[in-house]
Amino acid sequence: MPGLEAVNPALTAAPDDTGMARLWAAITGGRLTGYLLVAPTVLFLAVWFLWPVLSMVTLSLTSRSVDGVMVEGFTLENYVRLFSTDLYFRILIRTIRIAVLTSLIGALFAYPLAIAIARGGPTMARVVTITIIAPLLVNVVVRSYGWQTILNKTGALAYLLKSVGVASPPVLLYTEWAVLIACVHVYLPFMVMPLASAIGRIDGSVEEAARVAGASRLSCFLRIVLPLSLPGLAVGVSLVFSLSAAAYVTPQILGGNFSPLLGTLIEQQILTLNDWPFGAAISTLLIAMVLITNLVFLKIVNRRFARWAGGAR
Amino acid sequence: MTVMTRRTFGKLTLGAAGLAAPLVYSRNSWAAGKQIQIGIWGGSQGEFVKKRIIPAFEKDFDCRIVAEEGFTLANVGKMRATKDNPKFSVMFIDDVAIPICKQEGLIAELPKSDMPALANLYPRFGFDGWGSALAISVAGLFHNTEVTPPDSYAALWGPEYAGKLKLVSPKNTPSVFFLIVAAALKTGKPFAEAQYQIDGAFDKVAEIKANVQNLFDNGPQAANEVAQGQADIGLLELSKYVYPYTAKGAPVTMSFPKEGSFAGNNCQVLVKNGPNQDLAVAFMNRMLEPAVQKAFSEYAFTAPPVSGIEFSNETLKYLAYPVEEMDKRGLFTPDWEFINANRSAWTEKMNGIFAV
Repeated sequence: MPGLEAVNPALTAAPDDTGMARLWAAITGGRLTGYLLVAPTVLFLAVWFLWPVLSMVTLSLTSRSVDGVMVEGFTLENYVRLFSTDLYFRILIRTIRIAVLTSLIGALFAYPLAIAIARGGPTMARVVTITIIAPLLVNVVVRSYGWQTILNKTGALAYLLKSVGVASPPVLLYTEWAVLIACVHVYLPFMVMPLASAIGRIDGSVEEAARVAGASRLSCFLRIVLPLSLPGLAVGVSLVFSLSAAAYVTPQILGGNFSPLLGTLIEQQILTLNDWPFGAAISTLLIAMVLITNLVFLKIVNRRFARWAGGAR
Repeated sequence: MTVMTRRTFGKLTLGAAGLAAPLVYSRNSWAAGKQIQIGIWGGSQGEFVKKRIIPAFEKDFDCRIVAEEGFTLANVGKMRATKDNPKFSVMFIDDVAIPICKQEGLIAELPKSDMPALANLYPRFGFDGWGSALAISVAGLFHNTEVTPPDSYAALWGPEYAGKLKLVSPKNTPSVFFLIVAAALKTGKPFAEAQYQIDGAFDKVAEIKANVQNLFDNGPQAANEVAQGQADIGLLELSKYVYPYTAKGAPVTMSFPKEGSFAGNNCQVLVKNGPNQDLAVAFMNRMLEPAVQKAFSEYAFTAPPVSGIEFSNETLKYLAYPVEEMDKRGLFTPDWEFINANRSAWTEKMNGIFAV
C-alpha cells in the first residue's frame, strides 16, 4: 500500500520559506481558520466602532467659531478648555463616583441573588432569574419615570414614610441619590448574571469540605466563593461601571439637571450649543476614562485571582 | 321665490367644484409630478403639517412633498450635511438659528414677488427676507391654578418660593429668556437693553438656586408636574407646551409678569439651491395663507405671524394676537446673533451654578 507521500507528496512535503509554505503552515496550524472566523467581527467592529471613534477623536481636534460655524484646521483648544475648567473636572469626578458606587452597591445586592441562582433549586433559580431579567424588557425611560413617581414629593416613598410616622420625609427626586438608586436597579442584571455563571462553575464539594472542616458560612463565602467568583465579578463590574458612567437617560430624568454626568454635557454641547468639536472632546474623555478604569481594574483582579488561585494549589 | 333644497345645493357645489378644479390644476400644472423634501418639526405641530397641510397641497399642485420630522438644530445639521448637494428645499427652524444659517450660506432670500401671502406678514416676523415666522408662542410663567402667581419676576427670588420653582434647563431656548429676566432685574433696564448685560447678572442667577426644585428640559412634563402640585411655578416656558393642557382642563395655566414676555418664533426658511425651488416657494406661501394659518394656530395654540385672521374669543384667550396684543404684552424677541455668540459661555456658567 503506497504511503501518503506517494498519493500526494505536497501533503507531507517539508515546509520551505516561500509564502505558499507559510500559508500552508497557517492552514495546518489551524490559524487561518481562526482568522477567517473572527474576520467578520473584526470588520464589523472596525467599520461600526473603530472608525466612528477615530472620527470622533478627529472632530475633537477641530473647532468652531463663537457663532456656531465650523472652522477648518486642527487645534487642542477643546482639551485645554476641558482640563482647565473646574466644572468639567467636577462632573468627571461625579461620573466616576456614581459609576463606582453603582458597581459596589450592585455587587452587594448581586451576590445573594447570584448564589440563589447558582446554588438554589431549579425553581428558585428560575424565579430569581426571571425576576432579575424581567425589568430589562421595560425601556429604561419608562423605568426612570417609574422611579420618578416613587421618589417624588407626593410619591410612594413619601407616602410610606409618612404612614410610619416620618413627618417630613426627605425628597430624593432630583438628587444624586435618585440617580444612584435608579442606576443600581437598571444595571443590576448585568452584575448578577456573570456572577451567577462564575459561582455556578465553583465545585460545590470545595465548599462542603470547608464546612465539614468547621468553616462558618461567612468564611466559606469570603475564602472560597468570593475569590473563585472574581472573574465573574470582574465582568459584572466592568459592564456596570461602563454603563453607569455613560448613563444619560436616568440622570437626565431623575437628577433634574442638578446631577448631570458627562453624557448630559455631551448632549448639551451637541444638540443645544451646536459645538460638536467640544462635545467630541468630552466624549473622548469619557471613553478614555472608562477604558483606563476598566483596564486597571481588570489587571488588579487578574493579579489577585492568580495569587489566590496559586495559593489554593 | 325659488327654495333651494339641500340636494340642489349639493349639486351646485359639486358642479362649481367640478368647473373650478380644472382651473386649479391648469394654474398649478407647472408643479405636476414634482417632488420636494422638507424638514418639519416633530410633535403635534409636525403632525398637523403632515396630516392636514401637506395632503391638501399635494392635491392642489399634483406634486409630492416628503416631510422629515426634526427639531431646529437637527434640521440645521441636515442642511449642513447636504450643503454641497442639497436634498431639502424647505426647513422649519426657530428664529434663533436663522442668523447661523444665513452666515453659513445654507438658506436663500425669499422671492417676495412669488409669495403673495407675504403681503400680510407682520414685518417683525420677516427676518430681513431670510425666512418667515409660522407660529408665535409666548414665553412666561406657568403655574398651578391654585397658586396666585406674582405680578413681577422679582418676587420669585423671595424665600417663600424655596424649593417650589421649576427652572428651564440651559439646554432649552427659553433659558436665554430667564437670563434676560435676571439681567433686567439686576440692572433695572428693559429686556432690549438688559440682554446685552447678561454677563454681569450671574450673581442674580445664582441667588435663585435655593428656590429651584429642578431644571426641566421637557416643557409638557414640567407643566404636568406643576398641575400635579409637585411645584408651584415654572419659569419660563412657551405657551404652546402649556396651553394644550389648560384647554383640556388640567389645573395649570400661564401668567405674564409686568416686566414683559418673550416671543418664541417657529419659522420656515428656503434652502439655498434646494431642488424644485418654485415648488418650495409655493409651499412656503401656502403655509402663510390665512386658511392654513387659522387652522394651524387653533390646533397648536400659537399666534399667526400674519394679519387679518379671525379667532373665537375662546381661542384668543390663549393667543397673543393680533400684533397690538403682542405689543401690549411686551412680547420681546432677543438679538439672536448676539445671543448665539455668547450662549456657550453662558451655558457653562449656568452649569457652574446649578450642576455642581
